[in-house]
Amino acid sequence: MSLLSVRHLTTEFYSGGRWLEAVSDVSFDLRPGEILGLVGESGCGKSTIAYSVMRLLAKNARISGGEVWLGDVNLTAADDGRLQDLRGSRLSMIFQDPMTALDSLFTVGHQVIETLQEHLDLDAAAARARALELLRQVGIPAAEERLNAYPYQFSGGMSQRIALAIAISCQPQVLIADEPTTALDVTIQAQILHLIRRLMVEEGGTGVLLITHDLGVVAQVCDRVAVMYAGKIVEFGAVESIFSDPLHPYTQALLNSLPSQGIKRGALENIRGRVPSLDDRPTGCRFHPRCPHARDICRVEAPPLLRRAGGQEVACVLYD
Amino acid sequence: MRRIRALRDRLRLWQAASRSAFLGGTIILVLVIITATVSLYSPYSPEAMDFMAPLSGPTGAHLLGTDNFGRDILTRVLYGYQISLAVALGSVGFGLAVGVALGLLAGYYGGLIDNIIMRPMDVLMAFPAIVLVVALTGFVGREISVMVLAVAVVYVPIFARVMRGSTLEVVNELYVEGARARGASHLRLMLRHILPNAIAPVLIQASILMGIAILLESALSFIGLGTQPPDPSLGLMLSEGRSFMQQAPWMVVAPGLAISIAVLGFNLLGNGLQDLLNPARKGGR
Repeated sequence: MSLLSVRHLTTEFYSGGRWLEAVSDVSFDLRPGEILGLVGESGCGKSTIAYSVMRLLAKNARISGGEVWLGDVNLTAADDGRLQDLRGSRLSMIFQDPMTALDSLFTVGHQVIETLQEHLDLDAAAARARALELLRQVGIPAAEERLNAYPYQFSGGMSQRIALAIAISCQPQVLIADEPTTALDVTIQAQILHLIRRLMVEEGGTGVLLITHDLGVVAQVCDRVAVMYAGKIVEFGAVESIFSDPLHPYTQALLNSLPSQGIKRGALENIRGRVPSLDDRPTGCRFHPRCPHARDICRVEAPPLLRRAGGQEVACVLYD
Repeated sequence: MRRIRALRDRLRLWQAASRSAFLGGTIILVLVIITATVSLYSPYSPEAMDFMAPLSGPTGAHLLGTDNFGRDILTRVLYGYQISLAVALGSVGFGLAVGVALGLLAGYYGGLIDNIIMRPMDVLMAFPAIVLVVALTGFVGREISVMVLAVAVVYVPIFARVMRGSTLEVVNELYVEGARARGASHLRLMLRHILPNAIAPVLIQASILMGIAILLESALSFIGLGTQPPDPSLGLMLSEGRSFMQQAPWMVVAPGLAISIAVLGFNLLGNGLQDLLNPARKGGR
């Protein structure tokens, strides 16, 4: 059973007079009680997937193919009113920059209460009590006083805790976290990740879609991970197996380019070439111009994502 | 005692946040109070003529002198303020309500709705304000209500444009996206999140347009299309006093200064408002 099911999702952006694919034929399932990592370089389409699922795409973007199911609701076909009901209640999101994700004109208490009252049938006193409880849950000290504080009076880490409190306020089934710790320093990052893990997954059985470019974050909290390159998932599987036995040349190269601790080595490994831009995607396998194992067939044929022995899925002809 | 001190501290913060808004607000408040209550304390009626003392200079009986009919100028200035402030508040209030609503809708929805709303605004804006106001008052009538409406018609596109611009800026902010991700409806997004965050430039514009409304009313009355004699109006007083500038300069100086003070008050208020509307400045870091 899956909470969220993304089926052949394709999302395009309108630019320079034509539609360009940012996400191409992406499918995955999110199960209850798991954290699914979505990793890739900037511009690989991982945030676009998040915005497609939330149906919060900018005006110059559209979902041109595929479906997204939240339980038995087809999100890609839902109207505005239905989406408004679902967002914040069954489907929540937190963003990269917590400092600007809160409205600076209202107290944080007001913003937590607003969401509670939008979705739950609570009177003012009950909503306030629940807001206080939420702030305590996410570890805000002196929560009672802080309810009346404005967002500018909080640090980045504290703001992200508030954003998290709002996101979990209605006990969502799915939480999308778009680079939730990128703007925070490392110790705060670990605290927030553990908070997400504890509050969402262990207590609530929520599924979390964690978008990040940081493999360290993936290793720390994710159960499964999807590796994306140029709008496609190239490898998908359990975190342990992907870290111990990466199959796709891109995943291998990514892991190789991580600085390792202790051992003194020469220059850091890198992946030669650069990420192709949206209007200049290579034919066949999109990684072939940068792939050390590229063959002739890679230039013409895009390999499908197929399950290999060990349960890992990979899109590469090396394993045919 | 502690409460008084807390209150005083808060007052001091506000003052520090914007002396100019404080000063401007005080000027406006004082003007509103003394003109609203003028009939309670003034010994003269604005139309009462003292035939014994026409064109009298400032004296104990007539603090700012009298005009050519012997009417008390101070009294007429204060009654004139009533009309000026009514026109300013009425036209800005009306223009603000309609303009903000239109600008918000245009900026929020964009596309076709934006065009349907803003293109007629562009047409309205193409007319010089004074021409539009003269045409409307000349065509419809010379009552105060017509004057208020005419000025409001000039103001609606100005407010709509400012509001649309600042809405466009705010609508892409992450906190609006965040509110949307929490399930806020279009109406809620517009009224609770975008409106308060986008309104500051509009309010500043409003306070400046208040001053301009007073000038427009004066100009209209000056050329005979606004307030009609014998009603006291600052512009009309200027116009009447023009012929007596040599013998009785106070006839133009008093209403002229009166106009300047009101306009100054509104402009000071406008300049200072932005600081007070920003909570990050209010409490200090």
